[in-house]
Amino acid sequence: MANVHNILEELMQAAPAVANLVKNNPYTVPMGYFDGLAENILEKVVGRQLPEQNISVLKQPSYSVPNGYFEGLANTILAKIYTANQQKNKEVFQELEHIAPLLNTISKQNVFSVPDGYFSGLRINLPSEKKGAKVIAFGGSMRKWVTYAAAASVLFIVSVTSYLYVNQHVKRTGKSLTIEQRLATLKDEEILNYLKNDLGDYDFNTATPAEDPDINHLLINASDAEIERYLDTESGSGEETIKGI
Amino acid sequence: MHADDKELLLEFRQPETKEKAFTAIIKKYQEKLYWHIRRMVIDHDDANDVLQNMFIKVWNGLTNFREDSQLYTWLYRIATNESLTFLEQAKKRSSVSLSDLESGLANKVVADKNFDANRLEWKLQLAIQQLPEKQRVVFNLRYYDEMPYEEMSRVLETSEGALKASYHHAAKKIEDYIKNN
Repeated sequence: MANVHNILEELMQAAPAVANLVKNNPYTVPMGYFDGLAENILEKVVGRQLPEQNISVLKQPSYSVPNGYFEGLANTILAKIYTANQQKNKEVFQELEHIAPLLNTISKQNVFSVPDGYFSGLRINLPSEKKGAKVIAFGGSMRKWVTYAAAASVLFIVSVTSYLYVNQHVKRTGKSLTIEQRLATLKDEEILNYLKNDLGDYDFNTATPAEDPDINHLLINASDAEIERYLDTESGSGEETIKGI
Repeated sequence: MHADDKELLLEFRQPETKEKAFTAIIKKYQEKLYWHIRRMVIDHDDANDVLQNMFIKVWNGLTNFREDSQLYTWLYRIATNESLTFLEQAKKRSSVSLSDLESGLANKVVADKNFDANRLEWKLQLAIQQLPEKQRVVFNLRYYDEMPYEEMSRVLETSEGALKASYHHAAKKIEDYIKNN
């Protein structure tokens, strides 16, 4: 009390106007601030869970944020991304600087024109799966039977053709049989009858090739083709001449 | 694989979300793939045809995608193969030689309504069309898409060394063309 009296006397001597002011506290404090202050501080120090009435105090943000921070946040992040890309692109830039520096001076903007609204209206025309009409597949057992029929037809055609060809060939090549082959088909009696009838009084007993130089010459020097030709022209069909005596 | 691509893949494999996931994939990659194709075939209508065919193959094959590479690597591979197939068929249809095909593509560049012979960007396009097809692909992927060689190796199934050499030659050829024209 004496100390307070001394401070007041000191103030009266130093600043009488200030000494006469009413000592009212102009600042305000939130309701219940002091009631939970001790628990607040303790919780922050030791991490103890506080009673429920103080949670609302804790939920208020403790830290300040610069003005306009969130408004500019997107642009800041984009700028950082752009810078990071620049760093990556720098590798491509540096590489080209060594190889062909002229190309680094050219803008990479797309020069080709694109119809307006192309990308916004782009639709991919996927192949549709048609439903409704029954599709009869030409396959399976039907195809198997068709294959068999085709194979049988081919076989038939080949067989007939072969038969006809062989038959024709036999008839056609019958004339070209050698004289020996043709004579071999004749009986001895037929040959003797032919000789008797066609050659008349020719004495076979006496006439030998050695004794008749003309016949000898003819027989020795005539080729098989010439004899054959003779037989064909004299009698028409050689076979008929030989057989038809 | 990127998380969102994984999710799209999962959704694609569910019948009830297949179409929604497919649409999302198209929206995500359509521009990149379109330009990759367009730089190969030049004409917009041709690029649209190739892009359509490419995404139809994606629709048919994505269920069996083995996920041994990134989704976009797989998409790029299909787009590249479809572009090269298209050019090969165009060559056979018109019975032209390779050099005729390259000059045909150069003519298509010139025919673009925005073509300006004085602009370096257009000269660059003409120069690119002088390259053989595979070299053109390598150049476009590196120069325009800035694809790492490791990724490009998976797209084109070629060694990184071969790709680097191919890009090196392509860039030199293009630079010489621009300087001389």
